[in-house]
Amino acid sequence: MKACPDRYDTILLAAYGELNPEQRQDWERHLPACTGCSDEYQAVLRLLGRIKESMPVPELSEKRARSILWSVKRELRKEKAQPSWWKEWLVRPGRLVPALATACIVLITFGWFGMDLIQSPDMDQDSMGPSVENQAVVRDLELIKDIDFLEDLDTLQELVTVLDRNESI
Amino acid sequence: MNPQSGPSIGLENDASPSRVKDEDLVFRARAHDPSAIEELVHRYQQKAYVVAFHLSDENEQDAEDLTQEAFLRAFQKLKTFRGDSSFYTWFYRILVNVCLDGRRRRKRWRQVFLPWQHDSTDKGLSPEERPDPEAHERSLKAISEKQLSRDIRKSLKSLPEKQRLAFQLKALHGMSIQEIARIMGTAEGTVKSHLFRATHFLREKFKDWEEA
Repeated sequence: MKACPDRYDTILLAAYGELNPEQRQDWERHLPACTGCSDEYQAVLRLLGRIKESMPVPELSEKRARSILWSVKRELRKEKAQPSWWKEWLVRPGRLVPALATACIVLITFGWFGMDLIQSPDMDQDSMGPSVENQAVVRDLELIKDIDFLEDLDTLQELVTVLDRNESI
Repeated sequence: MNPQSGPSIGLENDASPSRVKDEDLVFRARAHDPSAIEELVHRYQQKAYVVAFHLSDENEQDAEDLTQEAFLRAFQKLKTFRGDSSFYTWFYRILVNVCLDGRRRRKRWRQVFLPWQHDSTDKGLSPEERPDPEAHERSLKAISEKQLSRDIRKSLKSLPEKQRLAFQLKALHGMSIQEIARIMGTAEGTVKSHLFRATHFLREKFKDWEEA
């Protein structure tokens, strides 16, 4: 007889001792009534027991245990005694002053160019293309030109009207 | 025969009243107190060694090196331990990571320097080792205890890494699913899924043995 298909997870959880009290109660009620689940549960327990037996559990000898402890303590002592690599590198004679001088030069150089960029905003605008303000001015100028043109058209129309009138007379 | 009832090598704490709490030892170890470091190593090295032994394909020297490396890394990172979980869960997470890193390193090393050697640890059994189904069926009935043990170990090695890890920590080391989830840095449901798949695979594999 096969185990209930919807109970397979419960069988495994029960075998691993991972059922919560509610699940356990339900499982204990179901187990005596179902031969399939009971057989499968026993088979899983036997398998897990067999696997556990077949895997050796080595004992850490006193000597090895001491060796691990000694190595860990030695490495930690060594690390504590040694400053970090960059501290060690800087502290060496003749390195701190050149390092600081280089840092100062770098700061001054970047500072200079940085100021230069702040002081010349036009350059920025050029590089970014025409600003919104400029675009508005250009648009206004175009409108004025259009109005002038329309006014010219009106004058021409009036002139044509006068000429036409004269011709008709 | 409940696997939980055997000699436990799990993570349960010894609750004797005279025992100094892990948290106190961690606090002192942070201040480089050698006696606290010594006590923490002494407290967990046997269990850590067994875990490392099983995760390093049962090599004693590797297990020793990995245990040592895990302790060292734990003490180096002790300042980052915030106490969200217990010290042993935090430490075992480091240990498992060290073991998995070590295994990957060895695998890479073998691939680079010994490419002609077939790696049977992650890809399952080699063709020579893999018995054909019929012969396997016939021989299972007559298989000796030793052979069965070897077969079980080979099958465990052929499991995918996460399934194998979840299964080993549960079935061999008696850890709870909650602890395994913390150690693996994953959800409990995922651990259950790995565990069920591994158990199902082994159950299917050794069904014949069970019937015999």
